[in-house]
Amino acid sequence: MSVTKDEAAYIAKLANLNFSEDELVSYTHDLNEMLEYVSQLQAVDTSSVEPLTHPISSEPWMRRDELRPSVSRETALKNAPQTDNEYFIVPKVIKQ
Amino acid sequence: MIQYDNHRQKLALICSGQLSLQENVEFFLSNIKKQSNLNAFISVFEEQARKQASLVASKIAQGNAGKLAGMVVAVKDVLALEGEKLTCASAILANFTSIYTATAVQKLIDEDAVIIGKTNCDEFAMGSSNENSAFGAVKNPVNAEYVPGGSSGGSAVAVAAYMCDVALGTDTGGSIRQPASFCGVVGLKPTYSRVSRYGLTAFASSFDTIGPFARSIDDVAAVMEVIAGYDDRDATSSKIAVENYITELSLTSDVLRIGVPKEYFGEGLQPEVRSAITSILDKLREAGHQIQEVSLPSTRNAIATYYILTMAEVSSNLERFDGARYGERAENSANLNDMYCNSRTEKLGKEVKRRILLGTYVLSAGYYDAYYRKAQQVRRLIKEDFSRVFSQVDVLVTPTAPTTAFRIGEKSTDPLEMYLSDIYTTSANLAGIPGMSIPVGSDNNGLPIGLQIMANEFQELELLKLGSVIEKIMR
Repeated sequence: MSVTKDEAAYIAKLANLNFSEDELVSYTHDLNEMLEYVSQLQAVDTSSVEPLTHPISSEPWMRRDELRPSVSRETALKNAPQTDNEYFIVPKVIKQ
Repeated sequence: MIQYDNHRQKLALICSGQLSLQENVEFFLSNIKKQSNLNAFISVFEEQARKQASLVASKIAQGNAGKLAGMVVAVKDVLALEGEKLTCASAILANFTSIYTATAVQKLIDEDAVIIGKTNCDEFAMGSSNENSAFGAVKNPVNAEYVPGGSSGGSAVAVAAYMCDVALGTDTGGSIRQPASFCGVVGLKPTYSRVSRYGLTAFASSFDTIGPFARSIDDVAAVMEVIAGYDDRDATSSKIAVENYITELSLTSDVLRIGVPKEYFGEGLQPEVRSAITSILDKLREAGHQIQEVSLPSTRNAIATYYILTMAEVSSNLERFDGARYGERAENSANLNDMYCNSRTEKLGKEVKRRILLGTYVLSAGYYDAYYRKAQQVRRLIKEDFSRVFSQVDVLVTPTAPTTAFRIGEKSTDPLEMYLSDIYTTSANLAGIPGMSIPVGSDNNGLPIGLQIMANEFQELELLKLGSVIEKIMR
C-alpha cells in the first residue's frame, strides 16, 4: 500500500497543515517509508487478542463531578494572542 | 569542587558547615555559563535560585528543612512552573508562560529543592538526538561533535556536566534512558502512572512518564520517593502506595534473579556495548546473582507498534496548538481555518509535522483498524511477553541503546534510522513498566555506555537494588 502525493495533501488538510510542493514530495516519501516499515505488523496473528489501551493493571479512576475552583478569566487569557479582556478574538468564522 | 557523591552527603556537609549552599549554587551557575556552547538550558533562574538557596540554607540551619533541602534541580522544559516560560523547545510556545506548576515540580519545591532552570529538549519531546529543538541542538559534554541523545538531552547534559545535582526529564519511548546512556549518568523511567503527569505537556498520553537523572542511584531514589504517588489532578495516577526506596535500599542484599532477553543482543549492537554489558553480567554471576537467558519474542514488533500508537496520540494531542487561545499566531489570515493552518505550518517544526501527518493517516477513515487497532493488539502481546518473563525473573538486563552517541547530523536526514535507535527502550513504554539506564564504562572514543535494567510494573525498588549493586561494581 502506498500513499500518493494527493492523498498526503488530503491528510495534511485534515491535520490543518499547509505544505509546499517540495515539502509534500518529501513528506509523502517519509510517510511511505514508515508505512512500509510498520506493515510488518500485518503478519502478526492477533485474531484472538483484545486491544490494549491502558498499559498497566492499576486502572484509572473517576473523580466526583462536583464544582471546584479553577483559573480566573484574567489568568486564562494571559497567553492569548488577541483578546478584549473577556473573550479570545479570532478572525471571522462566518462568511458574510 | 563537588565534595559529595549524593544528596545525603551534601546535606551533612551543609549541616556541619563544610559546604555553603549559596557557593554551591554559584558553582552550578558558573558551570552553566562556562559551558553555554552545550546549549543545555532554555531558561536559567539565576536570581530565584540564589534567593531560594539563602532561604533553604537558613531553614537547614533551623532544622526545619524538607527532605531534598538544597538539592539543585533542573527541569525539562515540557514541565510547567508557574510564572516561567514553558516552550517545549517549540517556536509555537516561544512566549508561553505557565499559569500553574506541574505536580512533580511542586513536590520538589515543597521539599526545599532549588530549581535552577529549564532544560532544552527535542520539540515537544519528539526525537532521539536533541537536534529537533527550535532553540538549537544540544551537544554531548564528552565530545561536542556528538549528540547527547534525546529527547531529554538538556537534562542529561546538565547532570553530566555538573550544572545541577539532579534533573527531571520525561520518557515516552526512551527519552530519559537513551540520553542518560549517551551522557554517562543514571536515568530512571518510572512505571506509567507512578508519577503524576499534571503540568506535563502531553506528547503520547498512554506512554508519557516523568523521571529523574542523577549521578548516583541514591539521588534517583531520593527524588522518586518525593515525586511518585497519587495526585487527584491526574486521573491515571496510581493509588498504589509508594515504597520508602532509600530505607529499603539500605536494608537489602538480596540475591536477584536476572533475565537476559536474547532479542536485545542481536545484530546492530556495537561490539564495545555488548562486551561492557557481558562483563557486568559476569561480575553479577560471580557475586552470586542468578543469571538466565529469557525470550521476549514480540520485541521485533516494538518500534512499529510504538510509532503507530504514539503518532496517533500526537496527532490528537497537538491539535490544540492552533494559535487561537495560546501560543504564537500567524499574521494576516483571511479566516479562522487559515489562521489555524498558517499558525501550525509556520510555528511547528519538521519532525513534529511528520508525526502529526502519520498519526492523522493511521487514524483516518478506512485505516483505523488496519493500523491503530492492530497496533493496540500487538501492544497487548508485548505486555504479555513481559508478564510471562517476570514470573521467572526479578529484573531484565539489556543494553540501553544499540550504540554509543552518534555524530550530530549523522541520522537527522533519515527519520526511520533515527527511530530505530530507540529499539531497546520503546518496549518498556509499550508495557508501562519501569526502566533505568546506568553508566557502565565507555567505548574506544571515550563515549559512555549505558546498561538498562527493566522490572515489572511498580517494581522500581528492584531497579534501584540492582542499580546499587552495579554502581558498586563500577566504583
